[in-house]
Amino acid sequence: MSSDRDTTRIVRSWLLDGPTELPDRVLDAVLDQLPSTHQGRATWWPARRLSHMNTPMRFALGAVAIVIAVVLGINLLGSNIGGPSPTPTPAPSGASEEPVVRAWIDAVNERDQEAATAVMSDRVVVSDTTLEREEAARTILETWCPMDVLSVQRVGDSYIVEAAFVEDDLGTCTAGVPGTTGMFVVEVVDGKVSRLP
Amino acid sequence: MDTDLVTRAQRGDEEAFASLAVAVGDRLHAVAHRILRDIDLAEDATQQALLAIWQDLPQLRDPARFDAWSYRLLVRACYAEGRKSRQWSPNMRLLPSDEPMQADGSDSIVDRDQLERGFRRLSIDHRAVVVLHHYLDWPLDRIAETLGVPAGTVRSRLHHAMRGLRAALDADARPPAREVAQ
Repeated sequence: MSSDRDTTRIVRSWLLDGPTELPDRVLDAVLDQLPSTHQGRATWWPARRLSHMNTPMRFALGAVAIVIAVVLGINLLGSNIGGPSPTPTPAPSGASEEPVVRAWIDAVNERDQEAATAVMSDRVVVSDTTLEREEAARTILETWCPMDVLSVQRVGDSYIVEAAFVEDDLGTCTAGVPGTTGMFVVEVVDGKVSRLP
Repeated sequence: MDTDLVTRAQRGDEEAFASLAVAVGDRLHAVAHRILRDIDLAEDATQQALLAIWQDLPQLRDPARFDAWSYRLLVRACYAEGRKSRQWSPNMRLLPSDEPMQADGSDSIVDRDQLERGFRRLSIDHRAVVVLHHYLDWPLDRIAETLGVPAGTVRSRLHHAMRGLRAALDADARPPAREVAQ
């Protein structure tokens, strides 16, 4: 029977065996593709920090955010369109799933994949692509910046979250710009997060 | 890593990126191969990772963190390659029949074969932690930061993986290869 120390020694020795050089043809293939491969920019959040904007620009951005929230609310309400007010209607009935949304955001902030998957549906739509729960959680945890939740507003099965993004440990998160605020919609079905931006 | 090279590559300088790719390509490939245990998958993963690095470089806010960030993209590419190839190729290679054994017989061809099988049974998540810790000698907190998971998760994955590998080694009830040959 192997001891822990034996196992570690054997594994380390075994891992030394293998290639250590990348074949030139692979490197050449990468470099050949550079001209046709566009470099991305910061993703779906405004890349400019609010503090760098002048006052009219801040008001304009605020107005755009409100319009987006209202339009999203109207779309999500579907048949309720035509009511007296274009603002999001309060939750019609049933228990609020806001704790699910907040638990999910806590898991994202903690980079806790187990906790995140625990409150996600088996299949989750992320950016209009349907992913298996584990893959969706991994994708989110690798890319989303941690956030401080400013408000969560229920609209039907969806929740509009307003959050202030902060830097992650590695400084490499790409969804959300630290130092800015943003809004996004989380859809919850049967007590599980089922759709994300 | 030369942060000036990283910064220039972030601005779209292909020559700077080529220098970066040369500098990091070998070690990324070595890690990819050890995670995926397949030469073709490892080459594909490394290629995908290098292209992802090029594409996402402008989003890297701190060029000094390029190294850790590049490994994160590599592990992500390994996940993708692992998913694509559900049917793992056998990756057979000839082993020298007269390979010297350790005095205690613990590092034999049989051990390596058992390890290979045990390792392939692990998920990519677990393999990545084993390789980063036991091949690159990284501490667990650095692995956690790179993979973007809590340190407790890394510890748990490493424990689970090593337990699986130890079980694989212990499962070999056969006598050493030389005895079989005799």
